[in-house]
Amino acid sequence: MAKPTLVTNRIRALRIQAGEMSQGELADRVGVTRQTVNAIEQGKYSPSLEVAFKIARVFDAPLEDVFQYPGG
Amino acid sequence: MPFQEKSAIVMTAILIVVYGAYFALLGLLLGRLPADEIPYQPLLIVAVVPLAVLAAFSHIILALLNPKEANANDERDRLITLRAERIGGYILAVGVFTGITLAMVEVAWLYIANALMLAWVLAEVTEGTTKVVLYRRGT
Repeated sequence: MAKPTLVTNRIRALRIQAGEMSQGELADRVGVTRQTVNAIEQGKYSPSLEVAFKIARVFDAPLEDVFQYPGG
Repeated sequence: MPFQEKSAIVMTAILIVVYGAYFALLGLLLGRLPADEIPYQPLLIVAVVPLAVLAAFSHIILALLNPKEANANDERDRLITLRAERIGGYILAVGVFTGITLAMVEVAWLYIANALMLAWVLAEVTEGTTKVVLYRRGT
């Protein structure tokens, strides 16, 4: 079955780089549930721009360092 | 598992059990009595009681088991709910037009009321099932 979104991300790697930050901690800082962070990491859910920016800001990284879109 | 997914699973199961029993009983009565002699109004009303009690009780238990997630409802939950409600809405619309058609051909009230009831139950079950699929497969 095709993945629901083509957007990929480096959230898991960035969490590890940020001192093994847990999904729950990232979720609390962004204002979503832990399960939503997990779904984003697994490519099961493509977040809104607002949540994407919030996640990038937690890691102090540009948006495209966190999320990637193939082609273009 | 998100609280909303657990809630959808529990509510779908409760609907299937309660209204499965309701429609089985109605079918049994229809096999023994003419439609216009079956007191379907009290049955319809009484079926709501176990539905409400089981729904409230199960959600209290779910909330007690995981109080932090009980009020969690983020953008993904809202998107999944919207998509599931839209699909459930199609089922409900078919049921409404079935009810209208039954009224136009002047069948017994019991059939009209229960066609609408069945449409609502099927819409809710479809909505719950869709939510679970979307949570698991992805949105």
